[in-house]
Amino acid sequence: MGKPIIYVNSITYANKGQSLLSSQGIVSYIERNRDPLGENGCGYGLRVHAKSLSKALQILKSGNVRILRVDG
Amino acid sequence: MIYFDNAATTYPKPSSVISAVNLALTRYGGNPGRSGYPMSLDTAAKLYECREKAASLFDLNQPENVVLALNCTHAINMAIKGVLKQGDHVIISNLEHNAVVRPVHKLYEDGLITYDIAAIDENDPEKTVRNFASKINSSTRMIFCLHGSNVFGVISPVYELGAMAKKNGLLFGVDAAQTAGVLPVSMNRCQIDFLCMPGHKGLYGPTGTGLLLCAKEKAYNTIMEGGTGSKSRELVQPDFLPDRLESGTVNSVGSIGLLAGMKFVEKTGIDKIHKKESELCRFIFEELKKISGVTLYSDSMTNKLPIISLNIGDKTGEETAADLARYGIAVRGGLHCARLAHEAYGTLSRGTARIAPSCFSTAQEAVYLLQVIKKLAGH
Repeated sequence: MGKPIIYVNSITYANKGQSLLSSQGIVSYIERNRDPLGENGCGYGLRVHAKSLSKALQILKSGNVRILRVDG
Repeated sequence: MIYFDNAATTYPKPSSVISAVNLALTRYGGNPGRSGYPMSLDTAAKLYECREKAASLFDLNQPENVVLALNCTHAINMAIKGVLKQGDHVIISNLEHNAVVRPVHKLYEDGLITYDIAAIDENDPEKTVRNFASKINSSTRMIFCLHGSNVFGVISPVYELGAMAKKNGLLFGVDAAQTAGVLPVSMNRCQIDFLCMPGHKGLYGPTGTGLLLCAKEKAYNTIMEGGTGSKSRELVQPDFLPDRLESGTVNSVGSIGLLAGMKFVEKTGIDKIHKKESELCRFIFEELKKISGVTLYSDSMTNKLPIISLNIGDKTGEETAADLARYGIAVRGGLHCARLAHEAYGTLSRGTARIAPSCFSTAQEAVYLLQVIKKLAGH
């Protein structure tokens, strides 16, 4: 099972997202957006286990963390 | 040196702050929000911790709405210029620091806004609120008020002013330069839209730090644009906080030091800090009252910040400060960047010398200060 990455607006929102997920028992790793020519250029994402993705998205949305896209 | 100039900046800093700054320089040396290697991410994580701590201390639910500023003046400029537009009217108090007066006056001189000054009554909070309310007109957009005077220690009724502002649909900005870390301030309870503070006074952080806490995230007007490490393909500033108001590399070393300062304040207890400083000031004040030739500018220290302004004989505040410096005592003399306050208290022509302890000031230092002042007053 892969580890998708949830892209967010900024490092601050990545930190916030990681904190929110951690408080709900979901481990995540902050990673740099590796596609600077993509839609938004510079940015960060939260890599989570695929099993946790759906719950993670829910938690982030409830916590007002805007999700740009999910890869993987 | 005996340091009583803590209203300008606190000294010394707690050892934990010094250690944090050292660690920031050696361990957290990456540019936060710019790269993906561990040191950059670790530095960013520390900055987020700083935002979380500030949000927690001042009762703001969103750490992402904590903007790292260079100082309180920077925070105030971002707040005021962030929301006001052509034709708006602002109300400020008669004791404001130039950090508030000058940006407001500049906008006025540029023909963008109008403003009025409302008197703070140090003994009657309800009268203060009425004074502000009486200045409201159809164009009023914002009330901006200090929480505590940096010259005379007067505390403004921010809870009541916030309620009045909300009742009238106005934005409410607060300059907490002298109260952050000394008095409890709740953004939620006082319905504050913008809370501005320095990191280097009552929060015991390094100079070069300040905080702007925004109740709401909006695409505020910006006073500086540049690289934010986000949305780099776009030619415009991001529309979200804190990035919109944080262009260029932030003072990460200072902010990590500020985090340590806030932890120090939280661990020590704001109530204990306030109690200690107030008791010291009360002692100094009561002894000063007994020295003829010393002019004080209130009847008591009740309901005041731990700040005392005084004059000796016919000397100016600057002359008294220079005299005290010769005895190894550090205070600030003059107008304290607060022309309005000195106008209100009739001290514009001579200024005052200002005594402001910190939680590190001691009774022995206060006794020595009083001995010197007694000597300078000719006794």
